[in-house]
Amino acid sequence: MLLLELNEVSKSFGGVKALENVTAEVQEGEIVGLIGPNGAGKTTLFNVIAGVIKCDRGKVKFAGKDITKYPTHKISTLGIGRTFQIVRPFATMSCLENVLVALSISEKSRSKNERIEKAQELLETVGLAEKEQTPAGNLNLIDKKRLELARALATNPRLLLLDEVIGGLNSYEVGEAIALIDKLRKNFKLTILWIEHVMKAIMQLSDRILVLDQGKLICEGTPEEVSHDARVIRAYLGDSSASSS
Amino acid sequence: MVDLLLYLTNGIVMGTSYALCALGVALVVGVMRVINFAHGEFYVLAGYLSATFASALHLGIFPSIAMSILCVFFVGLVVERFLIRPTYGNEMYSLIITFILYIIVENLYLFIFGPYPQKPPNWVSGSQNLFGLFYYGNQRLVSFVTAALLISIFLVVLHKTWLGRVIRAVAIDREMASLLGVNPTRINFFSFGLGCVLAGAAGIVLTPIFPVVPTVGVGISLTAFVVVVLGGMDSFLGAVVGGLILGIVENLGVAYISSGYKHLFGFVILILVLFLKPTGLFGHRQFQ
Repeated sequence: MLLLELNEVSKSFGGVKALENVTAEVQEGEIVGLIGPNGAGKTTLFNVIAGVIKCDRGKVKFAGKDITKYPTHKISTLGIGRTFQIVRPFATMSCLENVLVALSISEKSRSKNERIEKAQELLETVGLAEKEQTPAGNLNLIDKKRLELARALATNPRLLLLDEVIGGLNSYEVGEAIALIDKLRKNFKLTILWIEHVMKAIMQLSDRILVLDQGKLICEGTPEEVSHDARVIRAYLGDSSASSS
Repeated sequence: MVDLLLYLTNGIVMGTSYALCALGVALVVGVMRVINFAHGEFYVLAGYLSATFASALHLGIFPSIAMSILCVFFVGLVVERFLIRPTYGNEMYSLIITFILYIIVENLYLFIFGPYPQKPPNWVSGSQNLFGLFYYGNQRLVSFVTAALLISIFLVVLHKTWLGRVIRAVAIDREMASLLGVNPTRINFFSFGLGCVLAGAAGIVLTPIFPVVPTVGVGISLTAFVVVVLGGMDSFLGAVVGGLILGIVENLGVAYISSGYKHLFGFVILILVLFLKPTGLFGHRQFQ
């Protein structure tokens, strides 16, 4: 089933075209990587999908619904969760409370104790069980990223947008993170669209990869296909014919 | 010594009400980044309404109080919906519009209730001998206990309930909260109403002691702003401590220096604190 549909999405900031006619689809159950050089418009695309910014032209459809003009919170309750490259926990709240904020909306009908149980479960899933009372501001980077994941999961997402969850981690932690994402995907039946610069992770885990460059979708395919595509190599490494002339 | 204790007691009693009122400002500033210049007008409204309901409608004092608070909450919601909501995103507009609101409402009070002081009946009468040293009015003691109780309830709601948690989340990071499904507009709406109720509650507990006249509102607003800046813009605990400090300093200043400078003492303390710790006593974030 088609879960996310982007139809000629465009967004400019002043004179800069951050996104230009981006058309793409994500099927339910897929894990799709979104890559591209810095400033390619990856995060802008995430913001448009999550409703944090509105696109100038084009349409975003989620599970058949046109969500282009929906406010952020409504998109979240429909089932799109996102994490940020620069983690944004509610620093003065404990980890448990951070997750409870999301649960108090997504699990409104449940009792207080059930919500607390669910929050503890989620924290355990991401490996933060022992730190549930720690203020989120005191966590180290990887734990903050874990918390960001737990909080996004607490919104009961069908589609999870992960913005560089692995970036900034050391190679041991990268392995751990890949295993965690794979586990979450299976346990929660998630569809994942993720931005990542760590190629090892994105090549290993993604079913399909989208490549953005200067706001345009320049390539789409399996990890194997994308890594050999001339346009992608040019976007990352530059044009050899242009530099030699 | 006996005098000092009396002044301190006065300071704590007053300070508790200051804190109650300032919590409303802290809530509205924290959640919405809106400075409500008409905050004190809700104090005055609650004072007048409780007096009017009790005298004109011959209701008992407690039903009058309950009705006044409900009215204040409702008026607060209307103000948020029709005056504040159109200004979202521009703090200057909301400042100007609430300033205009304060002028209009103050004149309305003068027009409707007249220039003479009004007060609701006292809840209790008589006085207590405190510490075996001096006699202290029962109404003041009851007002103090009520204000302290309301502050505690507010803080418990804020820290222990799902609603309080969501309100704090919006205050910390509005966009992140909305990405987690929280409707920030609805939280604004409710928080503004609740902020007005806190000002109204301060009016309810203080008007039996200090009758209201149409012009007291602006002084109440300024006091609340001083308390919030003193305690730290993003700290509810700061508002409570700031209120107590201001109450005590004002009363000691009035007693030992001059009552003519009553409002000056607060500002001197404020300037000193801002000079030494620009974020306020308990604050982390500087207000922009």
